[in-house]
Amino acid sequence: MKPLIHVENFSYWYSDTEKPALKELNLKINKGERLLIVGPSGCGKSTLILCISGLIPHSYSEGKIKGNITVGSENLHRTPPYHLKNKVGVVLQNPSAQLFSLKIKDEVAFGPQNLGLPPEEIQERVYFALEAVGMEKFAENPLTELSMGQQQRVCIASMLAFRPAIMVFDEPTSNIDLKTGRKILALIDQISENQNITVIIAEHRTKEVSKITDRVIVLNRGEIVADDPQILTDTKFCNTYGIQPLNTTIYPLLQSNITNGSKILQVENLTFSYNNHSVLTDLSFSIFERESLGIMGDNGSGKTTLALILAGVLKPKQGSIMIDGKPIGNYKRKQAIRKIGVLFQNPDDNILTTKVSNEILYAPWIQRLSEDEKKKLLNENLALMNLKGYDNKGTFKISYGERERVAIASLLVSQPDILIFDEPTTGQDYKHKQDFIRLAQKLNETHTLITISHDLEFLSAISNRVLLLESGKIMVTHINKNMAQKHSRQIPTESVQLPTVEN
Amino acid sequence: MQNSLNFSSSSLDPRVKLIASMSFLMLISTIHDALILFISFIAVLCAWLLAKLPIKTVSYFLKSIALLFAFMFLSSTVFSRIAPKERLTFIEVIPAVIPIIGGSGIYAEILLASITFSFRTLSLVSMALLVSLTTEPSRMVSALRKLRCPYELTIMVIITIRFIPLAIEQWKKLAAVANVRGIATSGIIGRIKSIKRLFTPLIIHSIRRSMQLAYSLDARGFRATKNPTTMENLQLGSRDYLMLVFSVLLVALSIIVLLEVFSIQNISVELLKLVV
Repeated sequence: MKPLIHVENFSYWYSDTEKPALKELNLKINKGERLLIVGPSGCGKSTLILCISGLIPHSYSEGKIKGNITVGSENLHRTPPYHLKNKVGVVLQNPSAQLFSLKIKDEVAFGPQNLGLPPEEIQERVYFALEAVGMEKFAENPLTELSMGQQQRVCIASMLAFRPAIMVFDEPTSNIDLKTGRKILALIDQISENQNITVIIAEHRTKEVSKITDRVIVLNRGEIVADDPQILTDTKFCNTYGIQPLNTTIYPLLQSNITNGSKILQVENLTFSYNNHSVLTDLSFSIFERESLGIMGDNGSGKTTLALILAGVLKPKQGSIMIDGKPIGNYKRKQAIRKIGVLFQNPDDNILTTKVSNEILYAPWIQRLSEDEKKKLLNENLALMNLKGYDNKGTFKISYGERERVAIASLLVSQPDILIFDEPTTGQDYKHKQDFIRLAQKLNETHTLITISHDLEFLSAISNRVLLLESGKIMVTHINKNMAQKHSRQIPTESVQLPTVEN
Repeated sequence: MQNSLNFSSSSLDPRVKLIASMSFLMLISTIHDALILFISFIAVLCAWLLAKLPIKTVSYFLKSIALLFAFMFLSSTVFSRIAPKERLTFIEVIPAVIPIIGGSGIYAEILLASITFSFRTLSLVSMALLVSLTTEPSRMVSALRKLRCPYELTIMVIITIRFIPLAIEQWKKLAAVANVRGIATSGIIGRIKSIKRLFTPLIIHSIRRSMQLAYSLDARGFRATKNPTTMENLQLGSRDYLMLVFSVLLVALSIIVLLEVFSIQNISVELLKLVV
């Protein structure tokens, strides 16, 4: 059988590099196949996605190409993906950056409009696509009020409106919690089944995605190192390439709770609402010195708002937050940063300058410290964060993980007692997660940590205690080992009656 | 805000709205008479009432318009000068019997000029607001496309409208980051300082975002054909034709005024002379 997509001796170089991002790749993908591409960050997954979707070379044409990609009998390098007989649709990372229209139906209609189809057919396709993703009731709604999961659905619909034969996804579930991610994957499964679409997915979440795919290839440094659906059960192989193996075990929680020592942070009856919409309701908890607290919750559970309030960036409507026995509001900004530092979700958003050294020394620069002091702080923190030699690099030219370490270093220069990490591993590969666990354990020796995440496996590896936050309420104040096991599958929490455990 | 408004399907075609408001703009730019401009402003207000907008929106509009009027009227009265030979009527504000500050006042002509200026601007602003509030942005874009506005330009317009809230969101994120690095972003001084510090990162983030967007546009076949179509099929109804005829009348009237076939520019001044 002739393959639907044929990648032949394909190599690709980005314009400013000598090492190829993809090296002499050979890959045949048959019609109806569902392929999962895995591999560590920088392995060439995203580049392969861009090449198969035709965005390289039709949108980004600055690199060098050797070899061929054919779709059906057409050469992808000569025909743009939207003019192919077997159209290729692509859903890239970060749905919010891909949507630009004012209303959902306009977003979905954009593709067919570009193809110059008559109005009646555009309307028909728009409603077909929205129905396929379960968003037909929202056709007239503005795009600004959608959750991440809904945005992802609109992205998928806008590609379906092309009636593609192939759909390519670059990390469709990164940046979304597991529950929503599962729903998106189920949707992809259903669309592929109903519309007979060939699906190619690049993902880190092997456990979830491998359930809907029938073929797995592993990429490393631009080369295919395995093409075997069973490879994910080989824990040794997976660990070598920093891929999440299928049979990961839940980490036991760290040592027993630290309940002696002084309480460094106390939250009492904290309530917060935004535009008459209640975000946090009556939260009370406290953290002991050198404790590592995990806060678990899905998207929209109020986790990030809690981080902002704890750092004193947002003011609570009711309740009190005491750090070292003093309300957070009584600290001046310059004092507050010596008490508490926050790493926000997505390291890109934590970056204020374009050079690593400037980024790390931002707070000292604001405080007008002397050059000697600044130099000392810079060298100390570069060493601590394993970033030696990075001081003159561009903040956006280093990897995602490195950027995150730069952002942590820029907090550490103020020597805060407490560090808050908001979703530090979302959308990151398995290796990055492992690295971050080690880093957090190291930081916990000198700092009190609060880690916010929707990933219980990860939280249990670095926390003494985990709170479960749901719809702005603390549902469980103390997840013990048994519960961790029980929730390891992270069953949608609304279907489980959670017992409330005394603190 | 748009979603809270109810766009009725019987609303005028956006193309017609654009043409009508342009003709209206042309007419009131040619007229320099306070009384007629006042009447035109009242006409726009009537159109506002007919549009059946939510009461909240209307009251907000009326308040802003009143404030705008007060500001424009006062500033143009205070800062206007008038040539000595045109000074006709002097209105004493503070009677001359009061020592030192007494005897000051303003010329009625200046008042009239201020009224003219204020009502012209108010009519323009109210008209533009009315058109934008009663037209769905996507229909407006379709209208621009039908009026032969280049496709790339209309897409740019949409992206701009859409990216304003995103930029605000990004700004809030950056402000929070700056906050945890020790910069106060609240209070007037804090805000002004943070503008200086956060502007560059905002631009950097926007550029990065726009690069991602470029991929998305290309993936969906932006400029795949020379003649992209629209989903909205705009068709003119009888009300639209009526409005077009009315617009033609407005344009004709402004040409008549410009050619000075008959003088309507001095009605208010003549009236004023009669009264004073």
